[in-house]
Amino acid sequence: MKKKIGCLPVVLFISLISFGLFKFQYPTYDWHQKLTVTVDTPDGEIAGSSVVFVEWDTIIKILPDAKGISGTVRGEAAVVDLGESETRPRYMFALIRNAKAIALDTFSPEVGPWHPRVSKVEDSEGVVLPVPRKFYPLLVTFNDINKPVGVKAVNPNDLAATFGEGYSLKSITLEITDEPVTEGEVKKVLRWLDWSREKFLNYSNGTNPLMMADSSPRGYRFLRRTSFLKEK
Amino acid sequence: MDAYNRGYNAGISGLSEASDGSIGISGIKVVANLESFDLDEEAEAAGFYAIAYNATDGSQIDGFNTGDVVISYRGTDNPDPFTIADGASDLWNGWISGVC
Repeated sequence: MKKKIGCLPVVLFISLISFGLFKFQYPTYDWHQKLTVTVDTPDGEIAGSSVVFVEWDTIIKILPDAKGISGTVRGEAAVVDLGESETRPRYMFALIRNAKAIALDTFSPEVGPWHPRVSKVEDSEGVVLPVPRKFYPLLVTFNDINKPVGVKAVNPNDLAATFGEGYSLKSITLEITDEPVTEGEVKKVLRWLDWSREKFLNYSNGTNPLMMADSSPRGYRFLRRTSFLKEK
Repeated sequence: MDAYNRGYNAGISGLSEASDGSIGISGIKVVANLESFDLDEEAEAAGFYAIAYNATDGSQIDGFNTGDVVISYRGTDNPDPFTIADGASDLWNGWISGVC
């Protein structure tokens, strides 16, 4: 007696082929990137790093306002622990605000079609490159690590201005890696990342307390908590 | 005043969304954005984006008076269910929420 197979395998086969063709037309690119910040100190080199997940999707443009591509990041800032001191801040953070684009800017900076550029990044596993100066992540530190107020920018050309004589930035490098995404290191240091929004905003009369002084007309800019940690 | 071209996944890169007092194109100034109120993460997860502008010189834009405040927000720009991280966020959090 013959067994009836039915049309299920055919449906599955057609679905698989359709999905394959779809992903060929609208590919997704993703990678893990490891940012390492190395500081020269009076006691020798100190480095901090973090591994971040980056994904770029090509999007079906069925509505006029839909974008052609969409990027996302998951991970956290690199933390450089300079050690306890009475006279200078202990931690420096390299934020992930530009993490979506930094690998493109570092591994594939040429102007040109987007797909070959992201594809080149994805294929660069194991390669370590210095990040070009103009694409450095924002470096910041805090007066008091326990409070979200008092964030200060660190000038990458003049770490001594923030940390004192003998401190300078040696390098910032980026590697495409298979290492797992870094988790929990920033939260160990910045406990307020876990605060509710209400508690967070109460620190500054209802607005974001992460105000960093700058040269804008207002005199400061807001930083985001998601520039320190992006979990989803 | 294009909310699609500011903030995360902007259609055009390089346009500032900083609410730092800078005067932008056509004499507009960003008075508030999502990061002003620590809303950027939830908003992006939900496929939402909004920004508020102030016309510092209304004469530069038809129909505006100096001092007018405009709130601009995105409509549907992510209907694609196949993006892994935020697939069809506008469908789940916009269309369906609007209907139910």
